[in-house]
Amino acid sequence: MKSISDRIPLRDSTAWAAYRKAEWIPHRYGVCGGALLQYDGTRTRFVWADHPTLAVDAVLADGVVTTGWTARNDVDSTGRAVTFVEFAAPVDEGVELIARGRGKRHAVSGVLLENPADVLYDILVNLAGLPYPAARFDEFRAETIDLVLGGSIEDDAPAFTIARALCESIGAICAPDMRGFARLYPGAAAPATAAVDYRAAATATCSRAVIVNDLTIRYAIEAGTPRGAVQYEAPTSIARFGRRERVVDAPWLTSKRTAAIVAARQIELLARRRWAIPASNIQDTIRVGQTVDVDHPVVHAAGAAVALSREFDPATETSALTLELPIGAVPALRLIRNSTASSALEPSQSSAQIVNGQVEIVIADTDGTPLFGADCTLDPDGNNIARRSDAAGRVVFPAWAATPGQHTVLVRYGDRTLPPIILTVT
Amino acid sequence: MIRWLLIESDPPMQIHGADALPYIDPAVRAEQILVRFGPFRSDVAGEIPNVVAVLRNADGEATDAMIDPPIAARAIVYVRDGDATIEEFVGVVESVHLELTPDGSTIEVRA
Repeated sequence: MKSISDRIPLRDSTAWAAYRKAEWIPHRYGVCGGALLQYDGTRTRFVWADHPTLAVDAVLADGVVTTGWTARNDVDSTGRAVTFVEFAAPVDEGVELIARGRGKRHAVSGVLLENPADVLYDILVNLAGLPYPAARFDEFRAETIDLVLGGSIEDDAPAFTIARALCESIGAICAPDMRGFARLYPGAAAPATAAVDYRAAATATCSRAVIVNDLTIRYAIEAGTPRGAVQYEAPTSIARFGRRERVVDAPWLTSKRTAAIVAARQIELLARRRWAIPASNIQDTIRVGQTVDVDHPVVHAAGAAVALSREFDPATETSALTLELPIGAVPALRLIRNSTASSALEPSQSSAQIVNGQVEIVIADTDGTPLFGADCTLDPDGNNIARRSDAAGRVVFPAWAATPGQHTVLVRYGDRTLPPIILTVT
Repeated sequence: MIRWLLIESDPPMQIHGADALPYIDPAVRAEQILVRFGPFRSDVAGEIPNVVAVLRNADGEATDAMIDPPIAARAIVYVRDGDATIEEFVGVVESVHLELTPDGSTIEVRA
């Protein structure tokens, strides 16, 4: 029987006959970046993920975007499908190679796995082998429909450790005994599914220590270094309680937009005072993460509280809970920054196609807005043809350059470098 | 020694016992719910100096006073020393704990 505390059974590079050094072979999800593993002694072949991926969009050598590589999904020496990155010439020893791309695809639909519930399901069920039905994650999927994850499993940590890190990255809580396994918290108030008898909740504590009114989430963490940071503050809370800062790392966030959503949602709760309410002798079956109606006689507070811990005593068939109940109104927020260092990881909405033999590309921002005046270079190591996008974001390269094989288009817009566009002409 | 607590919340309030009545500021809201002060703790290598005021709340007296918990408000413990009133401890309200008991509710003030 598998346990959620068991380690994720990752393969390591000793599976390959000519590995360089023993390293865990990562699993990658969503738009993310991570180190390339040397596959053999040629220093031309590297592996990015221990599974097929949607695309490798860029490779950095010692932090600089490089060309002269191709990526493909293929089987390794054991017959397992992995993502290879192959260079035309050997890479010098000591050069740190990082690839950015789009990770694992859904086994059935083939779309990029980036919804938090889908990623969680893949990790817990497909990787860890836990017997959770897919339907258990339906509510969490609906709740996180506008969020995208990006991140990697790079060591054989216990499944629950990974699940918790993933959930914390998006402001969610999880536990194996929660209904639906996970939920956003803080989040949209889920309907209360239970009420606590006030006689069972006779104490409450409100502490300054839990207040955070200046929150920074560092994200797009690549080889241990965050490339993006979003910071919000709650001015009225700062004025009243003093500035209380927190900086957290979100290893499963790479999207600037999702990072901003997560940070704003969290500080809306964290900047407020909250009653911590222990309640014992609860006879209803209330699970952690469940919303509970509270009408507390001691603090004269009422509202929707969330059960953050639970201890069930089988001898008495009762539970002891800790509930959290916010005080006062949701504060106004101010966005201090959402740093642009992460922008290279943002999936742009650019597209490419062959029209009448020509390479036609539409350069678009993350929200789909066409970008006018983007500098595009087709095959910088080959034909090196430069064009600038028109008002519709459109760029056309000549037919003679669209030879069969893989082509790379580097895109710069102002001071931003957008993800390269990889195009295969057959 | 006679001690009481002034919390500079908005509006301010004084938490005191019956013995402090002659000394507290009559212009400031006063709640006669103080049972006692706990030990004044300080450690050069450990905890931040702090003190706990124990409140009476058997009938919800402290609940009424703390319905808007004055978290992070400046708080001053005054002590009557001879003919003088002295600031004995200054800090901010770190936490408020309430329960319906004669002496289980507390306000923690931390330097």
